[in-house]
Formats: sequence, C-alpha cells, structure tokens
Amino acid sequence: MIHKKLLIISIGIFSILFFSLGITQINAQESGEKMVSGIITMVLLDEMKELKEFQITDFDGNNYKFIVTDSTEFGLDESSGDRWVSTQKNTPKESGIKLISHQQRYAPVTVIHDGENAKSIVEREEGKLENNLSYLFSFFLITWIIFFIYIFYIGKKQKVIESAANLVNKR
Amino acid sequence: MVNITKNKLLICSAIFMFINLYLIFIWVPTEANQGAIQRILYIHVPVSQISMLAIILVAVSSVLFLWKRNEFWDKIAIASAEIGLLYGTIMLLSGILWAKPVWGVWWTGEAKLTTALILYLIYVSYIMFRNYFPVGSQGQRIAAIIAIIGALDTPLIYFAANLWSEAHPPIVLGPASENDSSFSSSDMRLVWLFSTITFMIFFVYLLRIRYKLQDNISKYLMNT
Repeated sequence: MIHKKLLIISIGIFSILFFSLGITQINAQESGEKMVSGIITMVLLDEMKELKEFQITDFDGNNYKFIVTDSTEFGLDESSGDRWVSTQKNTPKESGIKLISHQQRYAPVTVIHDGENAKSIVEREEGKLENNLSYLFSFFLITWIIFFIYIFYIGKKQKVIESAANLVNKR
Repeated sequence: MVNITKNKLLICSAIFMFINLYLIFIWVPTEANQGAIQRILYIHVPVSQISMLAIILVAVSSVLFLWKRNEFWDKIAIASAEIGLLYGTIMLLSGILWAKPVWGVWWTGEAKLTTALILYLIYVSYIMFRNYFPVGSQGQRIAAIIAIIGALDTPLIYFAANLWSEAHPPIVLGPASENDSSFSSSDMRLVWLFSTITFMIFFVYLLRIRYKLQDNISKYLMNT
C-alpha cells in the first residue's frame, strides 16, 4: 500500500520538478563572469582560416565584440539538432565554420565572457532546452519505472513465498 | 523491528530522492556546454559507482561464504548481484541516452563503455549461474569466481578514461581525477555527493528487502 502511495506522490512531484525546469535560466559557472545572449553579426578569421574574433548583437540592438582564446569552449547545436562540443584549441578552424553557420541561420547564442575574452559560446539555452529535454525526460522516466517495477516484483514474490510457507505450516 | 527499519529506510530514501530531484532540476546550474542533458550526470555517475561497489560486495560475500560456509554471506551475494544488475542497467541506459545528443551516437566501442558492458554481462552471468545450477552444487563456486572477475573489472572501468582517452570525459572524482576540473570546485560536486548518498541509501533499502526475500525462500525450501 505504501508503495502505491509513494508511486503516485513520486510521479506528481517528478512532473512538477520536470516542468519547472523550463523556467530555469542558464547560470554562469564562476563568479565574476558575465553573460550575454544574441545573434552573431560578425565572424573574423585569420589568414589560417582560424577563428579570432566575433561580434554578437543582443536583443536590444547592442553590439559586443569578443576575442576567442585557446580555452574558449563551444557547445553549439548543428542544423540537424545534434550537439557539437569542443574548444578553440582542439578545433580552431571548425569553430569558425560553426559560428558562420549560426550567423547565417540567425541562431541565437549565449556567450560567457570576462568583458574582453569569450570563455564559452553555447546555444541560447532559454529557447533551446527542448532539444535535449526528450532524452532527459526519457532517462528519468525509465529510471523510475525500473525502480518501481523492481520493488513491485520483490513485493509480489515475497507475498507468494509467504502464502506458500503458510500453506506448508498449516499442513 | 525489521519492518520498522525497512520502512524507515524506504521513507528516508523517498525524502532523499525528492530533495535530489529538486537539486538536479532546479538548484544546480545548467552546464554551459552541454545544456540540460548534462543533468543526467547526477544519476549516471552515482549509479555507476554503486554498481561497481556492488560487484565488489558480491565477490567479498561469495569468498566469505565459501570460506565460512555461513548462509548469510550467500544471501547477501545474491541480493547484491541482483541490485547491482539493476543499477548496471540504469548506468548503461543513462550512458546511451546521454551519448546520443552529446556525441551524436548511441554507443561507441571505446574502453570505458566496453569495460562497463563487461561488468553488466558479468552480473547477468552470475545471476544465471545462481538460478540454473542446483543448490549446493559447483554453481556457487563458479559464481564466486565470476564475481571475483567482476571485481577485477572495476578498477579497469575507473581508469579506462585516463588510460585509453577517447570520447568519454576523463575521471573527475576520486584519486585519479583531474584537479582543474570545474566539477570539483562547484555546486555540481555537492549535488553529485548528495545524489550518491541518496542512491546508496536506496541501495541499502533494496538490499534489505531482497535479502529478506532470499531468507524466506531458503526457509521455505528447508521446510519442504
């Protein structure tokens, strides 16, 4: 009985927590960092075709120019919906191509920066959470279903054994 | 007395699970590069760790049973193996569902994933040996050997990402972790720790009810 009640309460609380994720905002990982979201309006490559600088325009029309360093991290969605994760050091040419692709698609990005250098450039999470939520939802759903099925299975087997043992004792 | 302890553990697990969900979905910041999907980490890593600890418990219990011939250790080994398999299933499923959006594939043949799959298959073979061999036969000894092989697989899983560096992220926890990892100095570490405690309490609860079931099965078999 307690299991059934727990199951109903769990599903209820799980649903509330899950949908409340939609209102959470992306947070900077360390203090002292700033964050800005907008559309990429300029991408500057050097003679080696490696990404050097870029500019984004936020939704109030303000322009921000950032320098890309070796430690700059990327987490951008491809047009197919898959996530591309890398650093400038590992993929200096590909990062430029990805930013140009975002510029052409007017795909909004979020930049975490220290005022001059970009620390990370990621898909604008506020509007893009749904890309990964289906996987996250599937995972949590499967995990809880597996746990509850196992507890029910153990409970049921316990009852069968107890009733069989009672029958043996009566004889 | 057993029921009170059992229910206390169940209630404690439920409370911790709800707090854990709050921490994972609301409290902890969204990881900058991977986005929301990174929240799988707070379950993937704890269940993986406990799954590896469970096979060590199976191996130790099996050896103690063969040495002392005390049924208590045999029941602990069976219970731990079954729950280890449950946690192992979640470890693999969470890894698969995390890999697709981040790496673009459901599965790769790299060392970390392969050694984890081997652990899962070891659990399956252990349980198969225990179920299909008659009680008191060589099955218990063979199963104990399988459990020991499983326990030897755990350090391989732990160090695999550092030894054969591929797509899987390097170790962020424990003695071989990278100290400059952002995970080790942020709120993320706190949530991981809480999640590990939560799943450990739940593991103890499951172990207890599975042990009780095995105890009843043994008593029933002795009476008949």
